[in-house]
Amino acid sequence: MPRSGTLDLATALANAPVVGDLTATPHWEMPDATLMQINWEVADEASLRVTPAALHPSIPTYLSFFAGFYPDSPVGPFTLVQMRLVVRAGIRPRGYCLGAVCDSEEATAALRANWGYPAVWGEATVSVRHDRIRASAAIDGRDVVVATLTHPETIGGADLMPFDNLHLVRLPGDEAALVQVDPEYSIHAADRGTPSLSLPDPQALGMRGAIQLDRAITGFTFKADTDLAPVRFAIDPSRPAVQGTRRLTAPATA
Amino acid sequence: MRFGVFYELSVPRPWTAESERQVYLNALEQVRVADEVGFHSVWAVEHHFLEEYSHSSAPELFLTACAMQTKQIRVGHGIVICVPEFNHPIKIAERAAVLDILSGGRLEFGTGRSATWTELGGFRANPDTTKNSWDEFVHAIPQMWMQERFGFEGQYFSMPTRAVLPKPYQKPHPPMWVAVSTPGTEMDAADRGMGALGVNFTTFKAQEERVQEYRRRIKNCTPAGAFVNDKLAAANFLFCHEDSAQGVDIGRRMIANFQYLAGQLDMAKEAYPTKGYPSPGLLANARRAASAPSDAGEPPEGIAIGNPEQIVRELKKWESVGVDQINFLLNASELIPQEQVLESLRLFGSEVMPHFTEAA
Repeated sequence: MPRSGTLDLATALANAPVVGDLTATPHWEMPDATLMQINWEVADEASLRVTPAALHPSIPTYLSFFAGFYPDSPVGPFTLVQMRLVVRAGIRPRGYCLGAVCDSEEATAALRANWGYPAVWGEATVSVRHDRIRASAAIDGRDVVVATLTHPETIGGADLMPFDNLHLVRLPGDEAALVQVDPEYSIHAADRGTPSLSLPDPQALGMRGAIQLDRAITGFTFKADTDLAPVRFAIDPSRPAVQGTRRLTAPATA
Repeated sequence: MRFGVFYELSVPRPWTAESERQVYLNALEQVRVADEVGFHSVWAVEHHFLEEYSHSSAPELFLTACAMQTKQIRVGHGIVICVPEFNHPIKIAERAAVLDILSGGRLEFGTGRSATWTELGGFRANPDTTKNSWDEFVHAIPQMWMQERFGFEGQYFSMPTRAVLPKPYQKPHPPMWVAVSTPGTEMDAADRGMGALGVNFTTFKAQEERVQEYRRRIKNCTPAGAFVNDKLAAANFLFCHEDSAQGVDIGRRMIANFQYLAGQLDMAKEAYPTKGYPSPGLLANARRAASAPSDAGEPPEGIAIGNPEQIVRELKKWESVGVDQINFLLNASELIPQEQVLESLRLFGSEVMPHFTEAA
């Protein structure tokens, strides 16, 4: 069997978002978003410590930094910066969200309460220039991540493969769950570029000092209409995902 | 219809001092039996860093051992990676020629370019250019074999004129193949006059269409080598048992295990978006499809698990759409005890093969 995570669930749950009713999640349409993803290999063994037992590490283990500016949402415009670790839930690649920063207090509260984003309210930016795109986040005035993509070259939207997210949450009755958040993307334009990634605070964004950057893979940015849909799956974080996954809503019909 | 056996050489954790060796020894014993019962070929992948899924990083060594322990069965690179960061083309030509000599002219030369970020990133290869380097290699290597002296100025390698030695035992050179793990690569094979070494669990209708297009295009090909190899091979799983339910049950568990390990791999496109890998790879999709449950406890369509009658029925479907060869994976993670794998091979040889040798 592939290796599994060794996260101390009790400790991790102490600060996990509380989601009241997974079956009552709203549907947000978010058109014309500007999105950026950077994939970066990280030291393998240490990253297992922040991975729940339900999940397998990817081979090799890598981070998937993800930032988005959403100019139009039910709670107004907001920017969300996420630090994700790429894992496998069974055989499915997923981005396990370690931590996030959102620049809108209202959006932060809604993202936590509905989809379990481990987001905190802070400074989050995505800025686009002709030759680069830069994303950053800060908490209480301290930078926690700065990411840049330079030398953009156009690629096809079909060449991109954004990951669905997994969020560790507390449910009523102190039940723990990993909820899957799977936005749709209608991609209008995409560029791949040369990434840089700086993590000034290794304890921030849920990294707990366990994430050590190794080697850049690549980064890309894209413009897309996207959404946040009702949660469809929840996973028991203490059991292998192939055994502990339950469906919350009926599958969408084609 | 011809049949081969196909090895990823998966090694389950925990890894012990003996576990990898035992997987190799078991595979060699299976190949000896496959040779005895009349299989056409044994194929070994080249993979690197693919934990548990495949510990077959030096297939030319494994295939040499196979050749030394058998009499008739052909030995196939399934495949050798034609990307300069992995293998220099001169070394590929030299090693393949030695294997062809030692096997007495039994080499099938399969080529490919890797499909995972795990491997491409591990060798710091550029996913954008692997198809280009593969193309350059498959044109240069047969010339190294056929010309006494060879020199080349290319985009991915260059060399002054030298005698690349030894030359293969088969003249003008061994049959050449291309691994097909992404839809469309069959046509790359056809355009170059190469066999399509496929991993196909698509519907038979889709497969039939691809076979027809391959056959049409290869008629007008410009061969990369000295001759056209117009064969289409598909990969499959094999577990043959007198008892249908037991055969299907054990076969299903093997497929599920294999699929689970395959699902852990970082396919190139997942980590590194590029036109060079337009889909996650048919390999991944096909393997998932292969383990999807189907109705009423029947084995998935086209998969060779069950009793001999079931397997004959499924393989006849492949034959009917024009596939020339099926290469079987026999085990995954040593899930099936070695004695049962050997018995499956023998039963296949005695009860299934005769239904196809008449038509060959």
